[in-house]
Amino acid sequence: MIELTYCPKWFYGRDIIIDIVSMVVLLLIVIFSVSSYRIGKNKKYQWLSFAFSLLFLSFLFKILMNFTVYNHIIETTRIGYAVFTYERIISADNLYFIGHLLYRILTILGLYALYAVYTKPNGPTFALTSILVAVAIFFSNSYNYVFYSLCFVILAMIATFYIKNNYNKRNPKTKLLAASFVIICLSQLVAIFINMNRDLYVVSELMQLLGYLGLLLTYVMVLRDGKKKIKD
Amino acid sequence: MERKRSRIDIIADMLLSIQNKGGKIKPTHLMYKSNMSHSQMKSYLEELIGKNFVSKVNTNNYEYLMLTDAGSKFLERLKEMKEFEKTFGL
Repeated sequence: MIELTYCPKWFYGRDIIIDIVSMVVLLLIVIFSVSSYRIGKNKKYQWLSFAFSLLFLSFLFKILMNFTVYNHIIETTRIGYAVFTYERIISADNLYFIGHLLYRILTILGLYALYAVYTKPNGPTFALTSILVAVAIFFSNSYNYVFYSLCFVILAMIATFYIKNNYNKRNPKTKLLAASFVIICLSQLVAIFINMNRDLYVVSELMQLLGYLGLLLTYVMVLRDGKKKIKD
Repeated sequence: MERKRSRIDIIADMLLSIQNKGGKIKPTHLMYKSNMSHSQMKSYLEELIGKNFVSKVNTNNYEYLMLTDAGSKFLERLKEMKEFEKTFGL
């Protein structure tokens, strides 16, 4: 059987649930950012909604890709006819590689867009970084560790910004946001080594879940505090 | 130096000034409380009344400005945005 996933068999489907939870969190932030942009016309909201939309779509492709692979593996095992199984592998491979490529491109572009919200790169910097990102995307499709390393580096830069923001503002929400991004960033660091040990895929996914739940809690606290101060 | 207030900051300050006065305020008080010139306030007030966030009422021959339910909800939304911007460093 062709190896299409690093997920241990006992974890099949559970990672999809984690990705759906992450998608829901991203979608909530996208909806909030879009409606806030409509109210205030703040360009940063436009960029933020763009970045989170790309990340939302990347998870959508990841889920479709994983769903195809798991479904394919289960069906192939169950049927067991040589010709039929061969055809299924080919079709699953095509879907897998398309989903795989889109997932990686959208993830890197989404993270880069999020980073750009805070760094406001000028023309030449943006062009140079875009070329480097394009080269990295090209290699990341063939080598897992290149993709996860790139995600780790961009997330580390974003997390650094949130840590600095927390240092300046010092409130529970900025602290939780910084912690969430640090956890999501570390989940990518763990993912770099999934080729060596499949269990690391589970660790990485669970860290991702923890990070996105932190992001959800931050969002809920933002809404709660917005309401609370009105009553004071 | 403090940055210049955006349009949405001015609207938030106006609505908040009315809310802090128990939902009802005299126009001159609003002008002072939200740090605006007369012409500035007139133009913003027209917008807020047009959007039904604020309404004019007469009590004891005095004109007052009242925060409507829609205005309260909009102010709540602006506060959420402010919290979000602070948290995400926007």
